[in-house]
Amino acid sequence: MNWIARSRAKSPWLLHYDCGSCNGCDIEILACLTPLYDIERFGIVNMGNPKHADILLVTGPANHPNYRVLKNLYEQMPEPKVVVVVGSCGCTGGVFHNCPNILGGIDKVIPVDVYVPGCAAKPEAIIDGVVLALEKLKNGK
Amino acid sequence: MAIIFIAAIVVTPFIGGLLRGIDRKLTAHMQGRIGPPIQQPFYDIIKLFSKSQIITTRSPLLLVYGYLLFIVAAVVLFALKQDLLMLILVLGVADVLLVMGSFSTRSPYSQIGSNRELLQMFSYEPILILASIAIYMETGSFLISRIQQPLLPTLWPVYLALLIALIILMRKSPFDISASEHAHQEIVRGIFTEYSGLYLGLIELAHWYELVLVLAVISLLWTAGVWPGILLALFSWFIVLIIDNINARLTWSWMIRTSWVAGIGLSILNIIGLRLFGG
Amino acid sequence: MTASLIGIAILFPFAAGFVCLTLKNHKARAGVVFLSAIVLIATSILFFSQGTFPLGYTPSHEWDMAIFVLDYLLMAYFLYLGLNDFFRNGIKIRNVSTIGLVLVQAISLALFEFSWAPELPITVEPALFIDHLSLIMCLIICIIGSLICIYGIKYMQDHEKHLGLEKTKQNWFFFYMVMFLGAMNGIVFANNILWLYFFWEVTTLCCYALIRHDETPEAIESGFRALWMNLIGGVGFVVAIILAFNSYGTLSLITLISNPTPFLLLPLAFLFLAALTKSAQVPFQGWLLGAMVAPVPVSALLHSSTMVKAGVYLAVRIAPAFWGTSLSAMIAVFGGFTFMAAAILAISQSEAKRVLAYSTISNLGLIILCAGINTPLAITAAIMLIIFHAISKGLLFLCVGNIEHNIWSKNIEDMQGLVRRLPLITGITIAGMISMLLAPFGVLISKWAAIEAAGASASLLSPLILLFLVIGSAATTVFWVKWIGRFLSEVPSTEGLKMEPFSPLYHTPVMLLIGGAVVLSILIAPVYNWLVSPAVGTFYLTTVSTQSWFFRSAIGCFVAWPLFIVLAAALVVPSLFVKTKPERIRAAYMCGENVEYDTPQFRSVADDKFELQLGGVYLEEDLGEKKLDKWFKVIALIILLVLFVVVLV
Repeated sequence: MNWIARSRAKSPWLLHYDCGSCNGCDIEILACLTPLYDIERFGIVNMGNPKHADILLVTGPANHPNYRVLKNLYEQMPEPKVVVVVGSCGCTGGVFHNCPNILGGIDKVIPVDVYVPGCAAKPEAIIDGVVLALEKLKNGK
Repeated sequence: MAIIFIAAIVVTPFIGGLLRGIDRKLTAHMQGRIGPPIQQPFYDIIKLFSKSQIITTRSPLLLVYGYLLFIVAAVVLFALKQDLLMLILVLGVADVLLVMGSFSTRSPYSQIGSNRELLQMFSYEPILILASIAIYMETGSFLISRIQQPLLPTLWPVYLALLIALIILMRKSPFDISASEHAHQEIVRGIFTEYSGLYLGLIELAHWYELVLVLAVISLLWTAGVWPGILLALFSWFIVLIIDNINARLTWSWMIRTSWVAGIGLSILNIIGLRLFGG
Repeated sequence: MTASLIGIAILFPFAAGFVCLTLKNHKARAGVVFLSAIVLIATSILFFSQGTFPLGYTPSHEWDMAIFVLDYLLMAYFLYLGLNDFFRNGIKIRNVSTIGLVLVQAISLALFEFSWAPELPITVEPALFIDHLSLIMCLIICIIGSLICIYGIKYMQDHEKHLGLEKTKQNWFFFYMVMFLGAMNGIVFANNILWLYFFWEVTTLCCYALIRHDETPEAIESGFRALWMNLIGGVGFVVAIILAFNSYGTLSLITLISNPTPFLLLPLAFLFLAALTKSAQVPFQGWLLGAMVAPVPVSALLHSSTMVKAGVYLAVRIAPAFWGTSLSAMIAVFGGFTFMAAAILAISQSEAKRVLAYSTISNLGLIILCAGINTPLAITAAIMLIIFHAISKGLLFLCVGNIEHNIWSKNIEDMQGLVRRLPLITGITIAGMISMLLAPFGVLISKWAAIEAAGASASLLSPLILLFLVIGSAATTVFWVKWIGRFLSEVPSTEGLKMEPFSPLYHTPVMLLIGGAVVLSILIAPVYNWLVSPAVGTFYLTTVSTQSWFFRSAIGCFVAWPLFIVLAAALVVPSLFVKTKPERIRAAYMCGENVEYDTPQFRSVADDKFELQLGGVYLEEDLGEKKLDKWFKVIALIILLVLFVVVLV
C-alpha cells in the first residue's frame, strides 16, 4: 500500500449534513464522537466545512427546499470524495416516501457511494459504513 | 552553517508534527478517549497534499507560500542565532500574509476569522516584543547567540506573559478565536475556511514550524546546557494543553484584556524592575 | 557652484510660483511645473554629488533686510486674514485666536528687534548652514515634492472638472505648491534663526492657502485651524528667539547646538513646541486631520516632503543640544504617546485620507520619540524614518487620489474588492502599504532600530516609552492590514485581471515612488553609508556598521537582503506553480446557500436572493474618536506641561 492511499484511509474528514431528518440519525452520528466509540481513533474528524472534508455524511431525505444546498456542498468538496447516506430516509425517502415536497433518496441529487440503512442507524453501523467508504477513498475513486 | 540551515528546515517540521500528534493523543486521554495515533498529523498532511485543488480566488494561494516561506525564514534566523527582535518582526510578516490571504475571498467566515486574527496579533505582538527587550536588558544584546545565562530567575513575569502569547499562537482555547480549534464550531475554522487540499496542508506545515519556533523562543529563558531549555518549553506546552482542555472559547475583548493587562502588565513590571534594580 | 545651487534650490521655486500665477494657459503652466520639477531634481542631485559638507554660506546682507521686511509683511497679511474673517463672520474661535496670536508674535518680535537687538536686522555668520541632514531633507523635498507637483497637473484638471468650476483657480494652486518647496528648502538650509522663522511662516501661509483652496465652508474652517494652530508654534519660535539671544547673544542655530548649556533648555523647549505644532502632534493633531478636505496633491505634499517634515526636521536638528537632559526624556515620552494614540485612533477611521493622516501623525511621533531617546542609533532610526516615510506616504496619498478619481469616494468600505476593478493602482497601493508595515522594508528597519534604541536607553522613563512603542506598533499593523483586507476582498471569477488604462501623469510618479521605496529598502546599507551615517556623524559617534550589507548596531543585527530574497521567492515561486483552471473555481463557503459561484449572493428567507454584505472592523465603540480623543488630548497636554515644568525646574 503506498503512502498516499494509506494516508487517505487514515485521515478521513467528515462533513455532516442534515437534509431534513428527524435528528435520530444525527444523534447517533454525534454518539460516534463520544468517548465510547471515539472515532478520532481512526483519524476521523468532524469538519464543518465542505472544503476540508473527504466524506459527506448525509441524513434525511432529499427534498425541494434544500436539494440545492446539498448539491452546492457536494460541489465544494475537493476530489477524491465519497458520499455516505445514513438512515432509511436518506436511502430511499423512508417514511416520507412520495410526500409532495420530497424528491426521494439522496441519490436523486448526488451520486451516493455507501448506504447505511436503519431507523435510526446504530453507531456501529455508521462506523462500518464509513470504513466501507474508505476503500473507495483509498483508491482515489 | 549550511548544516544548521538545512537541519532547521528539514528537522523542524518533524518535531512540530510529532508534537501535534502527541498533543492530540494527550487531549484525547484528558477527555477519556483513546485518540488517534501519534503519527496522525503526518497522515493528515499527506492526504491534504494529495487532494485535488479547488480554489476560490487566486491571491490567497500566492500568499500562503509567503506565509510558509517567512515562517521558515524565521526558523532559520533562530537556528543561526540572529537578532531576536528581527525574528519577531519576521514572524509578524508571516502572520500578516496569512491574514491578507484570508481577507482575499469575500466569504463571511474567512473574513471574520481574519479580523479576529488581526486582534490576536494586536494581543500577542506587544508581549513578544517586550519579552525580547527584557531578554536584551539581561544579556546586553538582542542577538540570540549572546544568551548564555539562565534568565528565568529574573524574567519569570515575562515567562508568564509569554505563556499567554503561547496560548494565542498555538490557537488553543480560551483564545482560539480566529480559527476555532474544533472544526464544527460556529466560525468553521474561520481564517482557514476557504483553504483546501494542498494549501491547507501548507498552512498546517507552517503551523508546525511556528509551534517549534515559539517553543524555542521560550526555551531561551533557560539556556544552561540544552536540556533545561527544552524541558521548560515542553512544560509550557503541556500547561497550554491543560488550559486548552479546561476552558471554553472566550470573546476577543477578553483576549485583549487578558493579554494587555496581565501580559503587557507583567512584562512592563519586569522591565521596570530590571531598570530599577539593574540586570 | 554651491552658492548658485543653494540659490536655485530656494529662489527658483518662488520665481516659478510667480510665473505660474500669471499664466492663464493650462499647457504653459504645466510646462512651468515640469520645468521647475526637473530643475529642482537636478539641483538636489547635483548638490548631493558636488558639495563638500558641512558648509556655511552667507549671501549679501541685503537679503537679511529683505527677510526682515517680508517677515512683517507676512504677519500683516495673517492679521488681515483674521480681521477680514472677523468683520465678515463675527467673533469665532478661529479669527480671534488668529488675530491674538499674530499680534503677540508681531509685538514681541518688534519689541525685540527694534529695542533690544544691537543691530537691525540681526545678522549671523553663516546665514545658511548645510550638512547631510539638510541635504537629505533637500533631496526629499526636491524629488518627492516635484513628483507630487507633476501628479497635481492632471489631478487638478480632473478635480475642477468634477467640481464644475467655470474659472480655473489652478494658477493659485501651483503658485503655492511650487513656492512651498522653496520655503522648505529655506527651512532646512537656514542657520540664522530669524531666517528659519521667516521660511517657517511662509510654509504656514502656503499650508493655509492650499487647505482652503476649494473655498467650501469646511475648507475655510480647516484652513483657519491650520493657521492658528501653526501660529502657536510661531509664538513658540519668537519666544525661543528672544530667550536664545538673551542668554547667548547670537542667533546662529549651529552655535546653539554645538555649545549646549543648561540655560539653553528653555529656548529649546519653545523651539520644540514650534516643531510639534508643525508636526501636528497630539494635542495639535486637529489641523492635519482638517487638512484632509484639501485636494489630494496638497495632502501628499503636506504629509511627505513638506510642512510636517519641517517639524521633525527641527526636532532632529536640535536633538544634540538637549542630549542627556530631562527634556530629552520628556520629549521621548511625548513622541511615544503620540505614536500610540494616533495609531489607536486610526483603527476606528473609515475614511482613507483620515487613516493616512493618523498614520502620519503616528510616524512623526515615532521620529520625535527617536529624537528624544537621542542616542546615535535612535537618531539613525529617526533620519531613516524621515526618508522612508516621506516616500511611502507621498505614494499612498497619490494612490488614494487616483482611486478617488476612479470611484469618487474616499471611504474604505467603498474600496471592497478594488483589486479586481483597478488592479494596477490597487496593486501599487497595497505594495506601498506593505512598505509601511512589513519587514524588511525601510520603515520597519527604522522601527526595529527605534525599539532597540528605546530598549537600550538609560532613562528611567524608558519602560513607559517601550509601552507606548509596542502598543503603537501593534495598532499600526491592525489598521493597515484591515484596509488591505478591504482591497483584496473579491468574488471568485473565471475572468482574468484586466488592467485599467495607463495614464502617464497619474501612474508615472506613483511607480517611481514605489520603485524608490523598494530599491532604497534593498540598498539600505549604501543608503546608510552615503546619506544617513554622515548626517548622524555630524554630531554623534556612529555605531552602525554595514558589513556584508547587514545592518549591524552594537546590540543587534538586521539582515535585510536575505529577507528580500525570501520575499522575492514568495512572489515568484507561487506565480509559477499556481495555475487557476476555470473548472476548479468554487464559490466561497456560505453553508451551501450560495446562488452562483461568481456572485456574492446567498439564498435566505423564501428562497430569495440576498446580497452578501461584509464590512471591516472599526471597533468604533471601544477605540472610537468620540471616546478616546479628548482623553488623549488631555494626557498629551499634561505631558507637555510636565515637559515645561521639568525644564523650568
